[in-house]
Amino acid sequence: MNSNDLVISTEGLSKSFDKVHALKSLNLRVPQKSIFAFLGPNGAGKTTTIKLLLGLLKPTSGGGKILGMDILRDSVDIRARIGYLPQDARFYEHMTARQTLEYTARFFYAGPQAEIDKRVNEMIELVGLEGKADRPIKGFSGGERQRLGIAQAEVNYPDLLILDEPAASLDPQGRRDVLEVMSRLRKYATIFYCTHILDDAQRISDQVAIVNEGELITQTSIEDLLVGTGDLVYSVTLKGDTQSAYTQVTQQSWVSGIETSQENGHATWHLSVTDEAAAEDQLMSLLVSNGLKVSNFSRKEQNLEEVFLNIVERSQK
Amino acid sequence: MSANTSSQIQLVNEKGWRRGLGNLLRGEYSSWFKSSRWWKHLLMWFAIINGMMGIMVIASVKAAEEGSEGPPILYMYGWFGAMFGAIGVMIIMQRVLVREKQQGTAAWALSKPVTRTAFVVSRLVVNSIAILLTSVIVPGVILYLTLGLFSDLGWLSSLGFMAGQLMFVLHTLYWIAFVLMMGTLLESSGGIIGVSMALFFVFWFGPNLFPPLIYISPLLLIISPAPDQLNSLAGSFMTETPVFSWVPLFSTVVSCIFFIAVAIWRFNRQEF
Repeated sequence: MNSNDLVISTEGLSKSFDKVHALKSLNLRVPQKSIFAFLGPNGAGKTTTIKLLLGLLKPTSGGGKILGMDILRDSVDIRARIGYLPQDARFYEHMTARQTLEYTARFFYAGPQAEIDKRVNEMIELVGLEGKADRPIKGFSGGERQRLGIAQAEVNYPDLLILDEPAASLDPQGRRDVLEVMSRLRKYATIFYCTHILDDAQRISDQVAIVNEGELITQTSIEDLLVGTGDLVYSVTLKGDTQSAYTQVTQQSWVSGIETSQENGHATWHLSVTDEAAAEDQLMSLLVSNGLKVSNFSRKEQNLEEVFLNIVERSQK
Repeated sequence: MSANTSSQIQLVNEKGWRRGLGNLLRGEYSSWFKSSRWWKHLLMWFAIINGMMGIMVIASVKAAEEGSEGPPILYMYGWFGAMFGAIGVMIIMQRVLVREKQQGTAAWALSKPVTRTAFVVSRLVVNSIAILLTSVIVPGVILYLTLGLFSDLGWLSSLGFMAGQLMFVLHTLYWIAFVLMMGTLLESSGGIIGVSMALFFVFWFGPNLFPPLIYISPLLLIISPAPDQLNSLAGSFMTETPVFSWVPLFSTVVSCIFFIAVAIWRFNRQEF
């Protein structure tokens, strides 16, 4: 990937707090116009990374570029072209949502007032806060604050949106709304966000990075991540005496493991296989030739949560 | 919805350390003057300064009627200004940076295209204006009128009174700058108030033990060590008597500049 195609790139970005290494030599590559999910367990270094990118923290070593600008030298210029939603978005309580958006817009725009008002109204509409725009933020729910947070992050039409846990603390409807807004914004900006809600990440992201204990474990497209890790798993439900079939199947070189369970006279096997073609050619015939009735035969789809847990657990060994 | 494609909207044109300053000033200004905060403070300071001084004026009028000596009005004005002014500033200013750091609003504002220097300057400028207006200038004008109309001091020289008020302004600025600086050095409000109070009492009682302290004390701008001792600078200006020393004025100005410089330096190195 050409460096011009990258919105964020870091080289050995590290941060230590006293003796705690919060981030260890991060080399991140975020391509343009992607929805990039930055995943990791609590304390993995996600928020630290975001704060380093924004200039709120200073790296212990290493550096990086955002939109071709140096994160240390050009921090203010970078911030003029990005939008940021903090994890626990806190705004000035004496302001209304409209005043907050106008205040935010004025960091970027000098005027005219009519244009700023137009932009503010557009943002209010974008996040569906029309009915509450003139109420003080003091009385806002978590979901409303989060929506206001997204609106203020988008008010300058940023080239890059950095969102720290945008859907955390929201109810299912709020989460759906936020994801919907993010999907709508993808054609205008690159979205870099961190989350621990893996369902959401799988639903809308196209690129994923997983970080654990301050180290980047993997970084790839979501498709590659879902198909490219570990063995394929087939799930079969059988009726009949499975003893001889079990012995034969486990002897196959392309079978790396079987998990079995028994329920209501049916046996369910989860077979991990290393060769997809061999499994598709031979597995069914092996089962049938042993006199078994096969009531279910399917390839088990891996979801991001399983992949994530596998990767994180493997990285901890 | 791509970056800045709107045909008419104009980008902010601030350069260097002033990036974001205009808007930060506007935001801080609104927290004081577009809410009930300013008149609540004004009312409070009116009650404290003008209320106390009103009692003094009544006492002096009564004393004059009885042919006895009244309370030293200008000395008491300095005393109230020093005591309540300094403590009031500590209470108001200790929240300014620490609360924003704790609540996350500082980190949010600093995620916008603003410099940290602009952030500190905006808090310094707006809070100074608001505090000086509500606790020094308006109560001072009311006092001037009260003295002229009701006390046996009569109409003081307006120029002298203004020069005296300038000393009150400088004294207040000293504490504003000091507490602002402490807000960048400490993370708790209790710590800031504790250190500030300790310094105040060093200046309040210290000259009795170590007399040269009066030359670096901001209190000496507005309060005499005792009513019958040498006059404060404000007292000298108001009564048009010779100034005992310009050193306290000079050291206060230098201290203010030092405190502000440290605050900016330190805030630029903080992490959020």
